[in-house]
Amino acid sequence: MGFLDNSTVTVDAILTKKGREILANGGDLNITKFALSDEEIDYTLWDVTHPNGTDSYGTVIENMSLLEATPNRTNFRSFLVDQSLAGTQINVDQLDYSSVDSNTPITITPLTTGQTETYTYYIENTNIVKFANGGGQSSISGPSVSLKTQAIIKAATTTVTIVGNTSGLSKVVTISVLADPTSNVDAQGPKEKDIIDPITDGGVY
Amino acid sequence: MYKLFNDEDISTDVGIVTSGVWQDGASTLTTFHTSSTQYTNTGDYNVDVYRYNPANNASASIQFGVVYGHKEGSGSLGTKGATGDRTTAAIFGQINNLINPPQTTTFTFQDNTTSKQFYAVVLNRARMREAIEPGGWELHLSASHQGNIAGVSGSTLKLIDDSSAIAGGNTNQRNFAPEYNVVSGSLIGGTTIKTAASAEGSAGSYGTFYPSLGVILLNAERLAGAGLRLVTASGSNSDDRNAKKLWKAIDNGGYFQMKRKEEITSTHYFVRATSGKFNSTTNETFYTQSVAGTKQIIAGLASEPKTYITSVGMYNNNNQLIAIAKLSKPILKSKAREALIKVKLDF
Repeated sequence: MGFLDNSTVTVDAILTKKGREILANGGDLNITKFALSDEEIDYTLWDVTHPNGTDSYGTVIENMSLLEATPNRTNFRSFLVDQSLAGTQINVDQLDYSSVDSNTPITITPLTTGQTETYTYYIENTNIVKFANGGGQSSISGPSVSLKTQAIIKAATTTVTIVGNTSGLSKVVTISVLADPTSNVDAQGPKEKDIIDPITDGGVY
Repeated sequence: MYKLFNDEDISTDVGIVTSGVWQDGASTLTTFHTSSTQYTNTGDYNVDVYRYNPANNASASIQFGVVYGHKEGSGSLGTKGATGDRTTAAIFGQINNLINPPQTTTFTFQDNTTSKQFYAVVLNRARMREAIEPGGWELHLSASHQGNIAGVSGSTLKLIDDSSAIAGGNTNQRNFAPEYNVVSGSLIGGTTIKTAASAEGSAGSYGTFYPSLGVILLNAERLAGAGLRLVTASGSNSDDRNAKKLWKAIDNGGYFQMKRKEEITSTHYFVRATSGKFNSTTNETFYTQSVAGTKQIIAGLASEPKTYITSVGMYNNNNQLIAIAKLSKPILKSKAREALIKVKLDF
């Protein structure tokens, strides 16, 4: 990953691994919507004391070079939303599950302040945690989600990213699973193919 | 956070893109190298040709291969019922099976309808990608390296295809279309055909060209005639390495121009961030209190919110991120500013 040339504004577009997988399986990308992200922006760099006045408050941000796109992404860390959603946040009971035994069920029920919405859940490594009712899919949608830790030969950690489908808010839950001596599954090994459609196969658990 | 594309936001077009076929995007080769390793191992079948010397340039890659085929295997070791790979017979059968319809046992080069031998220039697939542009190549051959052979002059033969004269190509039954004739002429200063294929006489035309295959077949009998006088050895059970003779003629000619042609389907997505939308963010640095309690937008942005666009995520109906478009620099977005970003996906 390198930096993009910022002397002119250009757009560097790539397919994600999911997009490539769909093409490889002969499917249609069927892009129907977009979301805007401000990843990499640190708004604390907005300098209201800049000596050149209001036009220059954002100079530091506007002159930065952005990183290139990488295919191994399933979502963004932050999204641009409408002003009505400013300040809202997702709350979950627990953000960090440490030293969890294999085959332990975990239920996550997020709540967004000020509104009701459904969420999409993205598992970073499905060798470590899977959706309780699903196969090897890495994402699923619903108001809440049931997970199950997997038996793995060495202790490992993964994340589950929760993204509000209306608000765009996200929250990351970390799950560390203990080694299971009876297992021969390497957490970093190849993952089960994502063959279940999260919508048509029922995303709400 | 998601905004649906409407019909006006998406457009698709198909365009033809041509580019230089050789390494580094060059359209003309003037130096030609071979690999002694390849020649030692498989040189009786084909000679791989490089733009850079593979002996001292690690990035050198194969540009094209040169082969010689003979129906009875002349010019190579082995005969029917004896040991030997009969490499020229294998090449003849391979190309014949690929190009000609069933039950065809000889090649047709215009008036020569019974040719039992040919030379072929076969483009590397990664170099040609989809197809070679008809009317976009010119190959110079010189027999100057044969200067010690009586009757051979050092003249240079310039070959092109006749797509400029016969746009649809030949009407012969082939497994691939179009098929163009290889004729003497030049592209330099505008396409000029010196002698049409039909005027070449009983030895036939200089060859045929198959743009979709990336193959130029050259008629060995015509190359042996006036103009080039390339001597093709045809000993029985004899490792004559005729392919190397053609490579030498190419090397001495010192000029091979070629362009490839690709059909690119592009879909353009117009991402419109209108004035009233996307003026806030879930970015934690936008707020002074981000973990618990009520979030407050940082000073200077609260009364007149401003955000920055760095990335566009393209999603399907299942909220799966299909494509990512990254801007080279952040674009300011506010109630007073709209952003229109065009994202182009090529297939």
